[in-house]
Amino acid sequence: MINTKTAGVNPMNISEIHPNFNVATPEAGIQELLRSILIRTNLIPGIRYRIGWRGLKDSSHGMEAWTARIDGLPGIFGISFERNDLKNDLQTGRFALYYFPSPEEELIERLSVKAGIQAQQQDYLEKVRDFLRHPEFQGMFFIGSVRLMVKSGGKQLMLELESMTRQIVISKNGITLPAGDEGVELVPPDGIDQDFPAFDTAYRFFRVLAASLTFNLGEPPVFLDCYQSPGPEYVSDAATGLCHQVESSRAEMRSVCLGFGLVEAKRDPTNTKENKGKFRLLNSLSEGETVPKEYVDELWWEAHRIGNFSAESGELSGIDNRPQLILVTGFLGSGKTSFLQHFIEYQGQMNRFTAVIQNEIGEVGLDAKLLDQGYAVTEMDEGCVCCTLVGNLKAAVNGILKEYRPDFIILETTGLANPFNLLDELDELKEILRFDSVTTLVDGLNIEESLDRYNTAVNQVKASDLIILNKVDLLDSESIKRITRILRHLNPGAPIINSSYGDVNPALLFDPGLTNRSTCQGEGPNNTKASDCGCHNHYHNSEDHHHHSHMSDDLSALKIDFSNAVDKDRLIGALSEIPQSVYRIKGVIDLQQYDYPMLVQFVGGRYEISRYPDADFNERYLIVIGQDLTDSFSGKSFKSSLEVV
Amino acid sequence: MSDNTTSRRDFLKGSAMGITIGAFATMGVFSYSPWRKSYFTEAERKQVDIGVCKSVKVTNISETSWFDNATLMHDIKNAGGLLVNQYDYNWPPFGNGKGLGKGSYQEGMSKLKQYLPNNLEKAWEIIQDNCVSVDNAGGYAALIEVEEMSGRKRKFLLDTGWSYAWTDECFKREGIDKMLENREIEALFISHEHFDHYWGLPVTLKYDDRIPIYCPEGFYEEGRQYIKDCGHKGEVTYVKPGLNKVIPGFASYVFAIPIICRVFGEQSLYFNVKDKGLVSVTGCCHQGIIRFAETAYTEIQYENDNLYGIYGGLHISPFDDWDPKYDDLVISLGKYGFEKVGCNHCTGVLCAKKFIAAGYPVIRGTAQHRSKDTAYLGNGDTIEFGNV
Repeated sequence: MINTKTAGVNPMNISEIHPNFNVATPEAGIQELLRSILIRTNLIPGIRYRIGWRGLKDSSHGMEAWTARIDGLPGIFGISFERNDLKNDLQTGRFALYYFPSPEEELIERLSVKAGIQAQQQDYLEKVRDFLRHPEFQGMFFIGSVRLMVKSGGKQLMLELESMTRQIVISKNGITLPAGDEGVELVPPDGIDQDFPAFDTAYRFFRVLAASLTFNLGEPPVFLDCYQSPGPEYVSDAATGLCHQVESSRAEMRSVCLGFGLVEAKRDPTNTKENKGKFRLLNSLSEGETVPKEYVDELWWEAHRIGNFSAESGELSGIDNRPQLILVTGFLGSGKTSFLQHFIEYQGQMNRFTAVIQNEIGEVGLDAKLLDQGYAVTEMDEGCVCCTLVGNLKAAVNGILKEYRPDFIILETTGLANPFNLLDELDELKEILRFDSVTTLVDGLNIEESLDRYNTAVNQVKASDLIILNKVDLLDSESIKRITRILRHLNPGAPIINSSYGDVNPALLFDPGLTNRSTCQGEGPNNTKASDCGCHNHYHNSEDHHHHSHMSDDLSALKIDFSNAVDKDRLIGALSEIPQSVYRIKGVIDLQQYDYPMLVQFVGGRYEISRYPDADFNERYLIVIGQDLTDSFSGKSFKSSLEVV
Repeated sequence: MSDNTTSRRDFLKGSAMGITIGAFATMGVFSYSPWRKSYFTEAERKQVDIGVCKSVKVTNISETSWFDNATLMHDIKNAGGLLVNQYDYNWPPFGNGKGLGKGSYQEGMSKLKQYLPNNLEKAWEIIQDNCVSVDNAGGYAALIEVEEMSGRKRKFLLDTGWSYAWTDECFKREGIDKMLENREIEALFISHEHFDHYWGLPVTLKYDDRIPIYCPEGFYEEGRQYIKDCGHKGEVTYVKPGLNKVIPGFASYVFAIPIICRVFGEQSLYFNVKDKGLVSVTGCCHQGIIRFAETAYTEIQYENDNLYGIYGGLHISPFDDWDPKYDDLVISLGKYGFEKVGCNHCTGVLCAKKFIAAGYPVIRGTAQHRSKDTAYLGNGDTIEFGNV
């Protein structure tokens, strides 16, 4: 049970956010305050992710404006300053809130036809990024108002959202768009052009902003209140080109307001003459009262605890501090060093630190001088990755964690290493790091020959979660197509990204957040955390565990296509009886129990079944990789054991 | 919707190419959105006249703020992360001998104060005994020479380094020590309170303790006290956010923004060069290239309405963009069309190389005095804007 802070009598310290907040220049001050809240929350990757930010962009143009993506929604929010009112000692900064849905998002259907067309245009995202320069465009995506209120020179702060439950526009004349000879009537006369769930959408942003405010102030809100009043809807008239407002029985205006610091006065919208009788109070909560159930889980009550540094544990509280581990493979000369250089510099600019563990055979390791800036390199013993690294990796990772606390660890394995052997080892490091991916650099000039001559090259491609086809600047488009086909054949699941000089924007490859490519992400709507989802099943055959060096190069892969959904229990049963000779199974299939595609991963006797994030992915298959599969494993009988007759 | 088999979205997607937004007025769709009609205000360009100068020359005294990233990373992470107060790190010069993350301004200063600013050798000995990662400290500083329309040349300093030893060495290399002693340098502008730009203050004061200092208003208590404790006897101005005219053709601008390691506010310098356009000189550009250029566009009137040149650290946004395909800095620099670029410090060597690869007019350096790559306008290198 959560209580609001018991004593709402302490003046809040606004200087935590802005050391020179100046009531004498209110218009500039209130814009600076919003800017500070947004920037300060976004400075540290783990914190911004925990609070719910998924990307932020300064979109100011004369006035303060930001665009942002938040957790759980594919579209982009925009917020921009409108005006500031100063009344007695209450300063109210009013900001307009926008939501620009992703062109693929269903919410786009609820916006006007005109907005829907805008979202399908080539320059849509460019306009979003610069929305203040396109006033008419931005207007179509307006969803509500955010008010930031400062009282008594900074002793009390309030944050309020006001938005319509439904933003309805009726088209008096209807809308017919040209298509073929006759045109298509998208909206009949007096039909609904727009019916947007504005409040619900805006609230998603508001709660992230509110949690950011709690984080910055170092204290939770002391009151909450919510009002609702009948709202209008609009009728658009083609004859005049204008809209007019009509009363609505289906749209309501709703507000939610949080107060921080010293409570001198709560806002009461009902006490003016014109508002009398219109508003009804949905919720009101004062200091010391128990938070109603529907708001208990809001992060704004708790966000002040995020990121507190504990000298004892050396950790920041409330965020997952485990670094992401990326295993980078690729033959000598494939561009691993260039790729690393770009990666390290990019992450450095984003305040994220990268450490590198190297394991090279017969090659002078990646030199810090080569990278032009010192960074953490731990060189491991020379030798085969599968022989010396296994067992040493944990020690190396622990050493790096203790010394540097990096955000990324890159394990760079030699051009000759066989990555399969590492996958088992990595699983044992789950407690201390998050495994992101096996990323393989492919030298576009030499890959065909390498694949012909070395099974290790084949294995590197097969074991990849991401393939970077490098040196495409030296290839003609036919060669790129041909190589892509070969790689796709060896590894149908991994994205293939073309690059030159190893220059790939890491943000395209690696989720900056905490999602874990190779662990379970939850099966259903109630299982959203990797750690507590129910679909994880571990079992170790440790005594039979054996390592395969790159010498035993007789690995093969098998692709099994599925046209029907399979039964979950049968799949689990079959995975439990997989012979030793199979190292890895990976693919996307349909399970009868779920109406979305599922990702199946099996490594060294352990398997995970999780929701596959891309619902539009159409292929259904499993790739089975192992040794001497022809003798020990039959794809046909495996498939028939799964399918329900 | 008349056709129930296709969603509106799919229909619009299919036909979007053929529909121009302008055709809408005749199609029965209202010409503007009902919600926003009263708030369509285009940002107004203020275009303040800051005067004009003939040329600007920048000498890079030092752009190497520290020498080893891994050490810096170790220190910041183990002291508690990027929001920790920089005066608590126990970095030089503020050391109390208690180790990383356990320092304080007062304890560090109490050991040093009597030696500032005249006996920096002794001060540095004490620092070596009490601070962590002493040899990793470098610093950032630049000499700005503005030529007025009359031909008169005027000198200013932007930032004053970090390590006393390194900063002094660089000052001597570029003759800054003599210029200060001769009172040739009119003022010291501090871009922001960060250790690598500001903590070498006594080195400037050793040669000229009366030099006027301009800091952004966001300076914290420790930073303000440091000026006094270093024995400064001149005038100090804490510049409020916004435009601050200095001499004809030269103004500074303070951006109110929070920066890592508990710092607030960054001051950048703008010069309006005759017949060329606006030249911008930055410390780190924590405000981001977009805000930097947008501010110039809306606030200042400049020759030919042209953004001519830029020098300094061009920090890209420290956040993740919501669109990973958008390469912020490279695109932005191209968009604003700078004709002369000298970059270093926090820009990133590979980023500078991308500018070069993109065909931007990057002035290359000589990679001397511990600057590592010719893509940077390095330590001891100069860049000139206008007909010097």
